[in-house]
Amino acid sequence: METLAAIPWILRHGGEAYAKLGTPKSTGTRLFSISGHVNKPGVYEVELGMPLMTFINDHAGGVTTGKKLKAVIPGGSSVPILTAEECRDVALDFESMAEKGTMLGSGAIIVMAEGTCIVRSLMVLTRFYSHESCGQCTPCREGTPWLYRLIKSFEDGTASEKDLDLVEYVCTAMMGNTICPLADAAVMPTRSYIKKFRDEFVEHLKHGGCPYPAWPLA
Amino acid sequence: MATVTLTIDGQTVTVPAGTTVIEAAKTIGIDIPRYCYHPGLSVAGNCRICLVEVEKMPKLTTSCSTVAAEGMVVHTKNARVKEATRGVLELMLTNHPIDCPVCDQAGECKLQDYYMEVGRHKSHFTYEKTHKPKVVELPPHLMFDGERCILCTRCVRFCDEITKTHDLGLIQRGTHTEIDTFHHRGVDNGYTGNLHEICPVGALLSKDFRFKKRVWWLKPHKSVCPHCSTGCNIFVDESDGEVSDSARGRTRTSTSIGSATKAAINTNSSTPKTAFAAPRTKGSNGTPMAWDAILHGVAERLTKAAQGDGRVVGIASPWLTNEELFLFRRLLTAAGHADVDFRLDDSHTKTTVREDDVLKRADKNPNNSGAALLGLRGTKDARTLLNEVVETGASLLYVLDAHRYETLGLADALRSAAAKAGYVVMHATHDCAVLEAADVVLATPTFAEKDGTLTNYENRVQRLRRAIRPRHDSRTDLEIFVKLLTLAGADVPPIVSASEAFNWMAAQVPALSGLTFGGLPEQGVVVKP
Repeated sequence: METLAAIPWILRHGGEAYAKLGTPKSTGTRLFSISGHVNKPGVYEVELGMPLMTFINDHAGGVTTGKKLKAVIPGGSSVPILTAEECRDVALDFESMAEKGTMLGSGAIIVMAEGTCIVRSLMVLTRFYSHESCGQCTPCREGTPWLYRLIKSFEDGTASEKDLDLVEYVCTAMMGNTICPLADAAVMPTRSYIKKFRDEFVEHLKHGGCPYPAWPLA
Repeated sequence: MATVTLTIDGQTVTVPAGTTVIEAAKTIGIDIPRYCYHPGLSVAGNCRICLVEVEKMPKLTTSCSTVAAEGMVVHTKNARVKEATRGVLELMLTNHPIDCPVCDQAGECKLQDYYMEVGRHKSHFTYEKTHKPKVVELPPHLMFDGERCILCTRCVRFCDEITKTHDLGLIQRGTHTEIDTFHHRGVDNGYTGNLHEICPVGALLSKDFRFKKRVWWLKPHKSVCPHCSTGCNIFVDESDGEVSDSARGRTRTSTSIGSATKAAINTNSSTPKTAFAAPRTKGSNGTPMAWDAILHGVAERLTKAAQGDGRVVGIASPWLTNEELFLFRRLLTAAGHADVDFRLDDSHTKTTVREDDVLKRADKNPNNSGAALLGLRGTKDARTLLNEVVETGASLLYVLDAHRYETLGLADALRSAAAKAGYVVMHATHDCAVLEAADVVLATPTFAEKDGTLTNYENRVQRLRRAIRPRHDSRTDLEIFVKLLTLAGADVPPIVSASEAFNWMAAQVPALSGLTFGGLPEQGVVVKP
């Protein structure tokens, strides 16, 4: 649909004019659907190469009033998460995202402000993948619900220290071993969440559950 | 034929183009683990246990779905593959009940096999397992356990592709996925024996065999299914002299279906519904008699007949082995002029007629082809011969497999004929009312209790093997004929085994010339009548 929508403009102005938009490698525009803790969530068409923070602040109205940015999922829930720090100098194009070890993916940007529980956010994501798994092949059918229960145990306060390694162990058994990429889509955010926000998982362990208030968050 | 050469675990192998990696590996003795893969079914690639590393491919790939290519370098046992395989196996076992002590599959379960081979892990899974329906009856022959199921879909594909009855399907999704029938119907497609056979785990099991026996007590004997003219190669499982109800089997590779199928042995002919027949004579008032005395009596009658004492009528049976049929004909020849035939009904006209697109043929006897090939066909079929005896009498009426006459609708004809015949000999494995009409009953063993050869619809001569000792006081038809021929002074070598009988027969029957019993290949040999 996104491609089709670009065609009238390209016909009217010519391919060259379209190619001039964006960066030399990521040409043209993309539709970004931004949600989460921003003042003006919605779908925006912007030139590729626009700095992420410019997009959040100038187009999406900035992070929810009074909140600091905590993290951003830049391309749909299956891509590795970016910390606020990483967001500072990243642009909305394929290369910049790849440099940060993540992807532009579907262009569904999820913004999380301070006060968001990263563990709970991952729990919601893994629950989604567990629910979405079709059950056709083993690693995904058995792995996604296991991941969900493991992450949930951090929230519930039933996790133990070795469960962080266990999450990685399950991820290894799933990653790249399935028919379709749904298992990978569950593994990529999980690994990045734990890598970048390990402290928060440890904090959950120490606290014996989630230190954040109950729903709704932030 | 175009071929490709590839390297698997350092060994170079050349295979026909189009061969999958898993099959190519098999040709050099490398057994890649598999659950969903079965050579007789389409490739599903869902179990993921057969992952291998192919150089220059970024991810591991399933060897069941990867076609071998020229110059391909495959690793099936390196650290990366081992880690993935162990991972898949652990995931597969997370929601498995691991109830091996009460599972009939234990001992021949691929989960156990590969756990010992590549797993041997301590499970990291500590949560409540997913619960699914257990002890589900799928009438008439199957038991299903959803928790043991690894969802490889072999059974689903079998019903879709082989029987084309589409009995089974997948319902729900994700971790709740289950195998089920539509609206909890049973599965009765005539090949249900194959379903518990192709299930690599203990999810689909034989209801008859349930909790009967540990499989490691079973001794498989190669044999041939006697239930139709196709003559599928099967294993007859025996334990403590009894034949297991789960007569397991594999098909001949000469069928295009591959080894996925076997004719369902739902009614195991080795298991008697009625009592076994006992050797006896009319004079003994039904009490069993010593074999020697009986056989001497019969031999005397045969000698008399040979001396011209009236008409001799012999009716063979398409359930006898080639050797037995050959000897029966010889016996009747020794008795002088004799009418002989094997056609108990019109089944011999249907020997090559398929009953479905799978395995079954319309001729429900195992050896009509053999009987025809060995010249047992006379000018009149069994019914006509019996009716003739009713009209004109006979000095000797010799009937084989008399226990089959009731079902064939020939019992009354036999009774009437017996009443008019001077002397009536009947062979039977099981007791039945019609035996009352015989002067002599000679008890014979069932198919699982004797050696020999059978000839199937395409004139393939195949070995039948004795799985168990005869359970009743019986003599094989072969033994009886040799003994009678010897007593009657016929020129017959002292045959004691099916092997000797076959070799002796092969030397005299042009179609079998050059064949030896010991030299018969695994899949038998097709002969030209």
